[in-house]
Amino acid sequence: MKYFPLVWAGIWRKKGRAILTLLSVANAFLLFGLLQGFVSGLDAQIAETHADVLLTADRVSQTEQLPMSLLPQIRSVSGVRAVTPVVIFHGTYRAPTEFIRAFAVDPDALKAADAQSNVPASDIAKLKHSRTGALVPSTVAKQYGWKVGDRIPIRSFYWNNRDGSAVWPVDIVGIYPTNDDDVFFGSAVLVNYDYLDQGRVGSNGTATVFLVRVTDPTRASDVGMAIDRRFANSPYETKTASERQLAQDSVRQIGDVGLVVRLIMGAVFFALLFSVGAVMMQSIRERTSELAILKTLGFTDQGILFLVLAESLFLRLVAAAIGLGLAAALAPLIQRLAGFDIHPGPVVLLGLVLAALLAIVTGLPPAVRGMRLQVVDALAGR
Amino acid sequence: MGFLRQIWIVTLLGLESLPQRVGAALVTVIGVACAVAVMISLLAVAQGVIQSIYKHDNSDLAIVLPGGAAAEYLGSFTRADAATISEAPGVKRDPSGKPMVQPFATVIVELQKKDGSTANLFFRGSGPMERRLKPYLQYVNGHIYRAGVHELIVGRAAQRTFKGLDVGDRVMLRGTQWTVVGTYAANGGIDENAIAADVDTVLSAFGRTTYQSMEVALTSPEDFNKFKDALTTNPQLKVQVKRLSDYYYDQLKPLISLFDFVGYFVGSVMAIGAVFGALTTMYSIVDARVREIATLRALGFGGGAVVLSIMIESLVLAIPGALLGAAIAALLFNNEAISTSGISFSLAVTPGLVETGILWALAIGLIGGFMPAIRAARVPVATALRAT
Repeated sequence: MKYFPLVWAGIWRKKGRAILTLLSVANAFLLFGLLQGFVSGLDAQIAETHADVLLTADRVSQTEQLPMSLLPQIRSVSGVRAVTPVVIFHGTYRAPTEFIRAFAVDPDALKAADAQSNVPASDIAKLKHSRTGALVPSTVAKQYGWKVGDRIPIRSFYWNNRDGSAVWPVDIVGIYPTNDDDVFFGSAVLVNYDYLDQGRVGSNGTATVFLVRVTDPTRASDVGMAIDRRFANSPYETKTASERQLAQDSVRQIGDVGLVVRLIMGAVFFALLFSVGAVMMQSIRERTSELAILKTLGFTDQGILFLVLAESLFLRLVAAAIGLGLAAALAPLIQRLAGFDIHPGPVVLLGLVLAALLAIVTGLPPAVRGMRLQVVDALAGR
Repeated sequence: MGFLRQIWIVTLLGLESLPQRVGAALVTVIGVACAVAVMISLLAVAQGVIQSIYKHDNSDLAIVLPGGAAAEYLGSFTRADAATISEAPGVKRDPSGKPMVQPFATVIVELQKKDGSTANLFFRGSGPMERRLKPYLQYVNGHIYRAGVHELIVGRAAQRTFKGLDVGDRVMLRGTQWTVVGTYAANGGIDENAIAADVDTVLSAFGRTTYQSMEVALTSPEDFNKFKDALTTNPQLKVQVKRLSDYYYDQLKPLISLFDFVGYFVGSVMAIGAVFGALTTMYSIVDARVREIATLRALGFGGGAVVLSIMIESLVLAIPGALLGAAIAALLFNNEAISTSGISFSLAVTPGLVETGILWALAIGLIGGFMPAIRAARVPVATALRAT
């Protein structure tokens, strides 16, 4: 540690150069933190097996309907606590641009399946007693100025009623607090399954997905597989997964993100190696006589090697830490802007290891040059 | 001595001594090359999608979708609606007087890709009129599906991406076994990303009674508005009408935007890195030439000439970097087939992208050269001449 002032002085010998190096390395590690953080965000979601609620949908096509006869069979799978049929009832309000996310649900089963207890029990009871009733999340009610007692028309994307029209009038019986984390029972309009199913032309007695609440969240993936096994090779093969896993699938369909990120980072570090390496080499070349004086004062060859490497290591690690810290600070912003999940946390260690590697690769040639320095030649300027 | 001549001489002196500073010069060249190569490669994905959409001149084709349906697999309309649409003005008729329209039913199916993951694929119920609407469709292998039997044909891009879609393979879709009887191609166009069978056979296999979209040949591309107005003002219909290529573009817009965002984002961060690299290079060049510059100033060369010549030198280093980067991107990735989100297409490193890369490199060179150029012009002549 007593050599630290020497290392410190070496780094700041040329201030502009040190700052440029610091910025280049920090910039590269900012990108590393964001991209690799994106990959680790994906991996984290894939690895996630804890889930209270699973979705069972048609394996071949998630827009196809599954018959209600599957419901009791799913319920009988061990580890299943409750099952709710859900029909996607998305549509528009007055104008085609006023998109309404809506689901038709069974109020009796809703309470058991609403893991986060978002919707108050009193509201569920009101929905049960009003065939044309609807429960509306508070934000949606505010957006359109809806009140309890209003009758609103929803023009369904998928379902025509017996009048040959896609417009379904519903009566608002309750407004529940919005919770954006819960896609089904937190931010969507909820209507009665019976109202839709008995009114629609075609697909009667079916559901788009079954929401399965499991008794033990840690065993969710086993339960999901047990459900899918039950319907294997039937006309209604199912796919059961947590909602995040399903969202994950669509990201994974984009392709091998990890490979793309590795290629990009390869190019970034290749360029960095050159710029940082050249600067380091030049800096040592300019300090030839200073290093020779240190040797004259009694520094060993190894001492010089250590000194130059320490300088390289210190600067890279600090710069990498700044870049990774910046990535962590920016992650929530990008998450909001682009909707990506970015977890830079798990990649910090890998980043610091890479920074150390970079320090050794760029520091070793100048360090060896300094070590091999012949005092007499160096001081003579040869 | 004229200003331009001064710039010329200072620049020439700088360039002549560049070979002595290869290491420093390489920092800029490689930094710019890496940034441009990565940015162009990422942007080539979006360009590839766009090229596959506009591969064929489809301007005389329109698609009719039910009102409110965001995509071809979402809505439904009846056979009566289909008949009304066929009779609309602007619809082309074949020599026998038959309207050239093809109703479709589209189902999304999830199949396993060759890499083991799963992805969605369009299963389109089609008919014999489709190949007359799209003369560029080629049936390259086997034979076309027949009506009434569970036979399907596979687009070449889908065949490349998904497992078990070769001619003779059997595919299980919702309890029904379908046999792959042929392959079709569209010269690398977007149409290759689907499997197709007879429309009524698909409807009955999936328990449906209604069509979901209709593709229409127009009497001429200019008749699009006439056709569109006739349908959208018809009170009996609730439909939307789009040009087929525009519809595909709208559908793939999120994917295109995503890759453009990633390309420009990563490109920007790398460009900032390249600016740092250019600054490093130019500062070290200016430092090495301090005495030379001071001598020129003493001889009467102006500060402006020094500033400009240093910036020109920076640009001279950045442009080969851009060309190198573009060449690497083109060699590695142009026409490289990739598959993403269930569609497969070839990356396209277009001249427009190369131009973008060069413009970015010019910006990197200018920004990276500016501060060092100012420092060079401010060299205190007397001190610098005395320096060792």
